[in-house]
Amino acid sequence: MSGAARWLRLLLLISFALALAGCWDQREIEERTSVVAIGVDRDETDPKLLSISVQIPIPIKIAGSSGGGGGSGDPVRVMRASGRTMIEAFNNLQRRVNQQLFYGHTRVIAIGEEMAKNGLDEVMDAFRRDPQIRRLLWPIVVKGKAVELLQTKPELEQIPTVFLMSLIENGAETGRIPDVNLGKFYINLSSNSEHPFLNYMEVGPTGVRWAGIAVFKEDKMLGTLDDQQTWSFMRIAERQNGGPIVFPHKGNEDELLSFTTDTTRVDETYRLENGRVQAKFTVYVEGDLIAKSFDTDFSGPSQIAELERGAERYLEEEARKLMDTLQNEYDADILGVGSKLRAYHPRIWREVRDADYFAEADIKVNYRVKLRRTGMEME
Amino acid sequence: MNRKPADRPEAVISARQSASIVASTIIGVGVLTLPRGAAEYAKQSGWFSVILGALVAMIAVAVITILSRRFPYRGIVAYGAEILGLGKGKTFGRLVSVPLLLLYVVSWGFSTLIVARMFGEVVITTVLTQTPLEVVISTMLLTAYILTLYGIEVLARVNEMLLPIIVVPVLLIAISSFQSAQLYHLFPLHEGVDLTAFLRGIIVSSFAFLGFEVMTVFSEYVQQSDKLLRANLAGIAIPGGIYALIVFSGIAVFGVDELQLLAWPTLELVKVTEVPGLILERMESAFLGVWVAAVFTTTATMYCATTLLIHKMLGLKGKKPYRIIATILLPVFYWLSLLPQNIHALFQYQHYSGMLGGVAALLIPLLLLAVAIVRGKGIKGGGGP
Repeated sequence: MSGAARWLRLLLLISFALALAGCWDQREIEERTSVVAIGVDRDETDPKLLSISVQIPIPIKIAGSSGGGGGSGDPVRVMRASGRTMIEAFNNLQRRVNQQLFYGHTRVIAIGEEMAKNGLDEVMDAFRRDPQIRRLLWPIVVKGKAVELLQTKPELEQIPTVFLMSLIENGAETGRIPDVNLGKFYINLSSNSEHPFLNYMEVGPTGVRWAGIAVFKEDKMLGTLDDQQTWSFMRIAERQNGGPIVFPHKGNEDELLSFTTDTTRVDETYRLENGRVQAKFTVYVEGDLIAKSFDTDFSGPSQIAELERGAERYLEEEARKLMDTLQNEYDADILGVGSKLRAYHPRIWREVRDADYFAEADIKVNYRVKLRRTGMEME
Repeated sequence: MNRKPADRPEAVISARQSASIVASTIIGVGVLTLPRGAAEYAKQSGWFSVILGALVAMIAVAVITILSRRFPYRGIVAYGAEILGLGKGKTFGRLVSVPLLLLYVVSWGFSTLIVARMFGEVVITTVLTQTPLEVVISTMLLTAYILTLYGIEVLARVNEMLLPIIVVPVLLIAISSFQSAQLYHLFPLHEGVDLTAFLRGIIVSSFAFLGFEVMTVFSEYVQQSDKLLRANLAGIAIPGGIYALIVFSGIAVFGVDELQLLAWPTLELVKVTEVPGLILERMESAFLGVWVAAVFTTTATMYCATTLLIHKMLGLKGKKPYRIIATILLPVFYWLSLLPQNIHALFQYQHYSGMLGGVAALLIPLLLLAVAIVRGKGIKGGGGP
């Protein structure tokens, strides 16, 4: 090999070694300030401005971390800044932080109720375009101001966001809280046969509380469903358990029965009659009796059947109320009736998609409850 | 036709390597955008149009393989001149085949630079946001250039070695993304799609399989054997299966409406996928690492094919002129790859390059084969060594 070629080769090798270091984007972990939660509100002073709040954990203040001072003082800091657009607000925030803010570890995006009611298109557009924002994080609508959710101190976890995150994650796992991550919200947002919803949280004197879901139409929040309605919704639409049900025995408000529910199957049938969609849901639920507040004998098969009928009546009544709210009050198809029609009954969908198909629809929900166990007590 | 063993080049590519070159050249930047493109035309049946697109590509690769069996140890430059030539002299055939060959040069050259640019765009929007585009592109082109310098034998081995590294993770991702799939996104199969749109969908999907036509120039170095056709068909079937699966998951996870809003749907698919048990929470970095290898095999093979074709067209012999051509091409590729002003222009370029490639991959070999059969050129039914 000639001398020139040898030198060229060496030069190439060195330049490759340089490229391996990731050159322009190289940033040490301690030069990064991670944001774990973002809050979006309207500014109180000027409603034209957006107000962004971020929660930043301070590693040195987190108990158990090496380096002195662990545990003393607040382990997180909440910062706010305003701007005309999302990006302007984020930039205004950045100007007050010594290091580059990093959004790759963001786990919660909290949105103030007022903000959500005004429409989220602008907010979501900024999140969609940013490669740091992941689809698996939890968006939440907060009653009142989003920043309040970031400022709460749940005590059970050092970092409030971790508390929120595991609250939703555990709830979603056991079927009590709907599993709506950002990706699912995006999908429902861009669908024309379904409306989006988000988890709804309340910050009260007793701390943070999951309080049902916020119902959207397009990108605007219309209102909320409370926890009982949400559980009813989850049994029908998501085939999830929902929380336990408590209902009066034979209509007697003093004799309360408590059931756990486990939704096993949902049969859906759709028909078109006189231009109206006839939807029928049959929800199969298996339940356990977990408590009763009065004294009776439940050992016979007829008594068990009676309990089952009671639970069915209660659940059907709940579902009827839910449908009433969704269809008449909000007219928001968060059940995904349109999506099911589009997928499995395209002929019906073609006829109704331009009309007000959801509000007009005749939706019937039937429950089939099977009481399987009565707990550890044989009585 | 008498084969003269004297000018038979050294056959260095085995049937298996040939299949690897076909497969790993196909898998490249297309992986990231294909679900969107397929769903745009064929909606819910996008995955089906990809399978049909793969069948079109299989026909094309069969034609190319049959041609190479008719003219063993010859590339398109040699057999093109022979098929189109008059009588014994080859000058006329050479002249006639020049525009056809130029089409290949342009098509492969464009593929090289579009792939390099696309790679740069993805890397910059997703991971290395601060790094200049020029640096990312030039690193990719330089690496491809170096592999090109080492010639066809090394290229074949690299393709063979990298293929499983590319295939296995992509397959795993497509399968594990089914966790967040919704069955109803996949139906109805043929709603809102008319036949012309569906056919366009097939054509667009078959563009995603381009790359196998490099075998027209590499065929000179391929060991002729009975297994070759089967191997090359498998070379299409591997990306065919992967692509269909990825489009299928893309539609099942996002639905057609959301899919069309995503610039890089497969990357988003990776982002919503968690390996159970939190072994890897963020798979996109791992995926992008693998994907770099996939892009590299595409760029380098295209680069090598362009260089080799120009080399043969000019009738040059030996390594030195080959290397000079490769070196001249490097700044040309670099400069051209920076031409598209924005990402939308780039997607437009990609579309044109696809159409050009479609002609080069299917029409020209088909034409050559038809003429060869009519004029009785080459060995009938193909021949072994």
